[in-house]
Amino acid sequence: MNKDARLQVTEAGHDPVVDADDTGLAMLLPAQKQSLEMVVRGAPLPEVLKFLTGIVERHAGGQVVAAILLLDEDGRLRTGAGPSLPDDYNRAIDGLKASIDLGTCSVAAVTGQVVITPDIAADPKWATIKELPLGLGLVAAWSQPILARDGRVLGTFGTYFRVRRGPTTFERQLVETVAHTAALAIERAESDRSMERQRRLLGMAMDAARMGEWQYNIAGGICEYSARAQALYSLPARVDHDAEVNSFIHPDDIPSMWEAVRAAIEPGGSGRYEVEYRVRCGDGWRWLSVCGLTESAGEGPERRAVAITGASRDITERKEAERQHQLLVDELSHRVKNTLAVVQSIAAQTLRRTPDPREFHGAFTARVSALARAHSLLTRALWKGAPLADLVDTAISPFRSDGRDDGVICDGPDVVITPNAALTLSLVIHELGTNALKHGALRLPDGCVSVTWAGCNGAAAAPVLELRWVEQGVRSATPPKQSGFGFRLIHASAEQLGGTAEMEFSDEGLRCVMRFPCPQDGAHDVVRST
Amino acid sequence: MHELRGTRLLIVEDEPMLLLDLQDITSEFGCEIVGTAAHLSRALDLARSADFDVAILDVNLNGDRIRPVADAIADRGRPIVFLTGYAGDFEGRPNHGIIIEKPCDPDDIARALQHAIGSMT
Repeated sequence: MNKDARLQVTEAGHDPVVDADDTGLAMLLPAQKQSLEMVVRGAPLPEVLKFLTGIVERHAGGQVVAAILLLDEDGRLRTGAGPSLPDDYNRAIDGLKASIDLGTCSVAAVTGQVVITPDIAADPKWATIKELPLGLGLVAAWSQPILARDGRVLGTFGTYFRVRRGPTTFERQLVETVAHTAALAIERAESDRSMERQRRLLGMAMDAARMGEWQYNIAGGICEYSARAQALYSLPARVDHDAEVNSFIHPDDIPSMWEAVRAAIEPGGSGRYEVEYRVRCGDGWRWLSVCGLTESAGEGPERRAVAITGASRDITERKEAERQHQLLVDELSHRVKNTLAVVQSIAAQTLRRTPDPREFHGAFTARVSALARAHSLLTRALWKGAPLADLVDTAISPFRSDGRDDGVICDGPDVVITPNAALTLSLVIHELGTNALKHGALRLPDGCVSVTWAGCNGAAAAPVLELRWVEQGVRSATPPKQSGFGFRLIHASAEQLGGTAEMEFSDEGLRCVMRFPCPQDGAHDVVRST
Repeated sequence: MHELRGTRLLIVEDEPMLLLDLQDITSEFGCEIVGTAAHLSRALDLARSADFDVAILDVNLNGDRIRPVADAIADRGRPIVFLTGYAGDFEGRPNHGIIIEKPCDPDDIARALQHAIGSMT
């Protein structure tokens, strides 16, 4: 109790202590008991404080008015309870900075001592706000500080009188007793608020980290999950973990989970439980990163791990990103190796036909360049496909002779072809162009090549594209060998594209028609290409 | 070492330039190419019906994994040489067959074919 709350009389001439009455205090017991019960069962603070002011108003002598003010963290007075004061009054006091120069309760709040004001009208500390109580017929007041266990001022218990006087001994004992209960109630509320704040903080942090907490009881094999963990695991609050683990953890991950448990509960170990596993989530799986600490009980050789407590975190997105990254790395490696294999084959094929080093170098470089230009085109399109017009234009550009624009004509609708088709066709067009330059239309001043394409669906469900290479103005020339490299490459290419190639040679020159299916969705999965 | 002359080959490869090169290389070994395929459906037909001694299979056929073709060939007890652009092992590899990684030279191919044939005799 507030034994060291010393009496402070603000005005001389009045003896505040009148008489004491122990029987009066005894009558308080039922109300005191009831108020303590309210505190214990966690009744709302305003309700408890209102009840406490009611005790004083009922038991003090005459028509007193009681009010509890709370002192907040900023040193301001806040209405705790003032059920007999008008709202205007409470509002006027609420938020005032506690000061040693103001009123009665304010001084008690600052000093932590009992303050008695037997005549408000005459007290200079009330000068600025005296109309408030005087207007209600309240002419005297006294205030009992409400102190925490550590002596900190939590608030004040103020009593107003309708006659100019100080408190009786009984009233002082009464208020001291009630103020003690108020202190318990306020500290309880502070502690509740602090716990609530911490709970909310933890909750927000857990939500932000997509985590859920749980506790695994080793002896019983039971795991208990918080609401957040229940959502992560799609499980109820309490699960027979050891018996049911097969139903919710991915079978491939169960051995590593048990291994992590074994390591965590091993005597002399770190006690840390760390593992990643998948748990069932609807029709799929959710990746969790799981961390826990082992709790042990007993001493010496009897010491045993009893539980693991921890939290799990949803890392599905990270795992998916890792998987995508690995797929891209694998695909890149595959593509590089495939490209090297193609270049190797180009070298071997070129060497078979042009053993002369100088000729070999020219032919080999030209073919690799054709491939490289197609790569550039595809890279610009993020390997999602290439517009056929751009591809044809790029592939044929080395064969456009200087100052003769009419030698090569390209025309066709906007079509996007797959990366594979682009690489294949770039080499095909290169071979056709090389052949035309050496033996065909492009060798002659008035020769001409037209490269055109169009859809030719017919009855086929999938769109089919027809690509025509037509030379004109050759007049007489020797037809190329059917077993030649160009012929074989064009046929193999048509087969790769799932289509056909026709080649015929007339007096005008070479005609080559390729037909192949061409998916029109435009979006080709990078990972599915070869 | 087994003589490759007269060995009948099935070649499944979807990259035209590689296919031509494989045809030329194996022809120089004296092999007879009884069929080539660039697509899964044709590869499956040939795997089930063509008369060959050993198959060279590109692991990734236009995005279609080669597993069903390999299984069909394994069912007939014929050896396989796998060609792969992937490092090391790959998904769906049967427990027989020899893997060579692209790019590879003619000697690699000859050795792989000889081992594959040897493994089945």
